[in-house]
Amino acid sequence: MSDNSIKKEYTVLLAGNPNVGKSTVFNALTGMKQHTGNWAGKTVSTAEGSYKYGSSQFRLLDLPGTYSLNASSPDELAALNAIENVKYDCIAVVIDATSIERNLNLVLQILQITNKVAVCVNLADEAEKQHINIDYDELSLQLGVPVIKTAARKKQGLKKLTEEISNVASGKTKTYTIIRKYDDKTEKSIKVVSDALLDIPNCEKRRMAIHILERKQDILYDERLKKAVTEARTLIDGDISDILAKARVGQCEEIYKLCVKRESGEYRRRDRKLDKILTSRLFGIPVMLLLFALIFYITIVGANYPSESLSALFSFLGEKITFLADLIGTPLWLKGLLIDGVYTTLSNVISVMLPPMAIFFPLFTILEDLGYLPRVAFNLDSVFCKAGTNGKQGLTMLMGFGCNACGVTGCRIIDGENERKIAVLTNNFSPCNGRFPTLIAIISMFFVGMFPIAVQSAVSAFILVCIVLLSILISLLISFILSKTILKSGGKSFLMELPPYRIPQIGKTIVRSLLDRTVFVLARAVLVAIPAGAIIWILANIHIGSGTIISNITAFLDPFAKIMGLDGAILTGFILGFPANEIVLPTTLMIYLSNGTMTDYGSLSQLHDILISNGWTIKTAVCTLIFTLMHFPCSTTFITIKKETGSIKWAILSLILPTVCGIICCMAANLLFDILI
Amino acid sequence: MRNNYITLSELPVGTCGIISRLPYDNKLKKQLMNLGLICGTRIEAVCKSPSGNPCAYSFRGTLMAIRKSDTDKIIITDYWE
Repeated sequence: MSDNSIKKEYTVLLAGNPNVGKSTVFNALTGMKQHTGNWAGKTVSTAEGSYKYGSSQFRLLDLPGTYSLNASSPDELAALNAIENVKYDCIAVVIDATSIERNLNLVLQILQITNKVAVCVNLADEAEKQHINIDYDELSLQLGVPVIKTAARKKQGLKKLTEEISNVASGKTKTYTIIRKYDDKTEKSIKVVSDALLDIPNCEKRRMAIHILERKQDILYDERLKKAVTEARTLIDGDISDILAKARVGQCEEIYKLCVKRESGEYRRRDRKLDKILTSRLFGIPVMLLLFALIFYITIVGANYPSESLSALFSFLGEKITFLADLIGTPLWLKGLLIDGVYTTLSNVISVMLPPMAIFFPLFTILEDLGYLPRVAFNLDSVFCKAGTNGKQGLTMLMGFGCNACGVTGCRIIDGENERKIAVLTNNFSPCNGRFPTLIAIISMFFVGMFPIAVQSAVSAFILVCIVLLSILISLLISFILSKTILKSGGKSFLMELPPYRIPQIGKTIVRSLLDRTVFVLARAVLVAIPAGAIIWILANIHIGSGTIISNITAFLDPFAKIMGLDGAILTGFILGFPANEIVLPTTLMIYLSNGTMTDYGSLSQLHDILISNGWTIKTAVCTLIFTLMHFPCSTTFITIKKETGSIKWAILSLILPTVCGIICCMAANLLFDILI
Repeated sequence: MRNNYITLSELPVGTCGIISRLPYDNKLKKQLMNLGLICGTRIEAVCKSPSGNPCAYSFRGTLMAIRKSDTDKIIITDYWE
């Protein structure tokens, strides 16, 4: 082959089981920061990146992690579709060196479709630690394709990998199709089908026939082929696709025995010990609660300081900007719109939202990378099973406490379509970081005053925990109702791998989760906060009739809000707080003080005085707490729900569902107070 | 070693068994097969979740959580400590 006949651009598919470090390989090759997690089904939409090797450009498509190509879950379907429809030059299959036998199954399935394959045996360092000896040359011989040993986290073997991928793609390295014999009857039926295949080269026929018999029996359009498959079926007693699948397990076992030697039988002893504690009846749940309580504590306490500095910085900058605006003679209305409206809202959102997210998500991601989160799902499964869903929803719920938009995105890890929708719709019942400050402020102003100062913070922590538990209960209840009505589910099978514990790369984790989650959410929030800031300012500063638009709205909503135990200002605050829950309380204050610009309160006692003088009682506080817990999601979450469910219908339902719950509960609480007091 | 047939859900934690029949449910059967679980596979019950369901099983170097409603449908034989 002459040099100028070499293609300049190649397409490479990256396939593999979940939890094998496929995304790490992807990141290492492309340098693109795509988040990696120790968790099944991380890559849901195909990620794309590219890199250069030699004089050629490589386009790399990351397929979802799957155990097979059977198209029984959305992930598997996506992987199969990509393999069947994308014009690729090479498939790089990443496998886990510590569990080669199971991983080989997917390799053999892919080899049934093509032999333009390079196998990347990743986590080779882990395997060495566990004294697993792999004969890479033998493995390569058995599979007929190049096998490359890598430890992507340590950047080992990647050069060789890119080289081999390039060689396979360009045809420089020849790959072979190893024919594995089945029993006579199966061979006969394979022959029948391969004879019916006309348009493909002879060397591909056998492979294609097996592929069709195993997976495509029911979706054939070609009449000739259909007849052949029917004939092939009659040659065999039992289900041919079962026989092929079963035979493949045997093939994996054979190859595994030839290529892998384990020195000690007691592998993963450390993992077993950890699992005995972390999932035990005695410690499982308490350890989990403690860990998450700790994360929330660190988040809430730790976020205060950067929040204060940020808001000081913003107000300092605000003064300078005002000064500048005066200098160049900006008209008053424009200054109001841009500085009092847009700038104030924006800085409010950023300074309240950024710090807790920047603390919560890295911590959460560390737990994820450790491999602890699947254990949480394991511990929680029985509870969620009763609610008609599965343990993975517990995780997305926990993520929701950080940020509902992230929780909703996280629902991708849930397999069943209906289960996933339930998790998406109920995620908003978990109060997010944006609502915690409001909850805490109200609790400490109205509910702990009667206790001695020494125990006040303990009491408010206790009340907060009760509120969190209440939100979980509501979430479960709504899930249960949904799973019995519009999103029928439950009682289904649930298989989930508990991957080995791995030591997270803390530095990288922090950077990635900041980039992937925090910046992602912040960007969306900022996009909404800008127009919202302008709108709020206009509403608060344009007069119609006797007052501003906002005071008119407040007066209009007041009678209805009163039935809910709130008042017009609070309800208007919630509605205008659609861009971000953080601005609900500041907006309400703005209305009370008829300021025309969003107000940040100086101290809690100052805030308490303002609220009391505007008619707040214990009842108002309770109802505000309830409505904070249960109302429409913020705009960022709303947009995310629409994107994740792919339909406006579900997004609107996600607005209505919690709002109706909130209104009913507030009215009930209001009624109860009126009767009792 | 005992030579009884029990369901996988009855396999006590810490003991191993050999799969002798997979569920009839086709989708579940396929899923299990692709994970390497076929008749003759050695499987060990490793640990239960706090409520006892699901349970984690180890086979072919993988730890997998499976619900009781599924393990009820899997028959094993030849189990030992």
